[in-house]
Amino acid sequence: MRTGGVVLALAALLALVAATACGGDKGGGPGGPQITVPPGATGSQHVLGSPQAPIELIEYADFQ
Amino acid sequence: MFARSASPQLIEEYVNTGKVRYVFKYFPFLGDESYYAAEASECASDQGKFWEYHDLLFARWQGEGVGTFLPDKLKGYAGELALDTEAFAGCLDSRRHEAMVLADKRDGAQAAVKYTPTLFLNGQVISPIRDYEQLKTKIEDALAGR
Repeated sequence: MRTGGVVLALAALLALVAATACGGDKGGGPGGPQITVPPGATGSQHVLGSPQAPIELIEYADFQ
Repeated sequence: MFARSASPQLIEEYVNTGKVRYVFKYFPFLGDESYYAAEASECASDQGKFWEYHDLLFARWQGEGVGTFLPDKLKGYAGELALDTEAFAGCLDSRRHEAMVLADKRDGAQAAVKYTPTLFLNGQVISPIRDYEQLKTKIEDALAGR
């Protein structure tokens, strides 16, 4: 009985580790899983205004 | 939400006058619809309509995880903007812009972004911003070197 419980616990732990390793970042947010980005990927480039403007305002947003 | 309430005034008063350079970055973290919406915006960008699509998404926002940004809806919005809907659907279904969106999120996480919207003014976090007047004060202070 006890052995069965340990096996189940180990199986659950392994499933959690596998999900973390393969799942990318769908959970996101503070303390979420590490973000997996393909090598060489670069971010978006959506800019309004002059490159000479004295102020740069960057907004990180979620459409939801 | 910053983009809906403050962006139009910001753009008119500071961006169009050469005082502010505004940069938009993705930080999807509220579930699959957040990712779909970000990737759909890139598909619109492929057709030269990023800002129009961006504005439409914020206008259509109804809440978190309510289905507003599921792929079929996002394809419908592309039609409203008279985009090439076949090309748009192919783009969205292919997930070809997922890496770019994830790269934005990685960059945000490295810059300690933990919520949205997060605003950086010349590299310093100034959010949360409650309204346009508060944002304006921050910008004016920076312009005055305060």
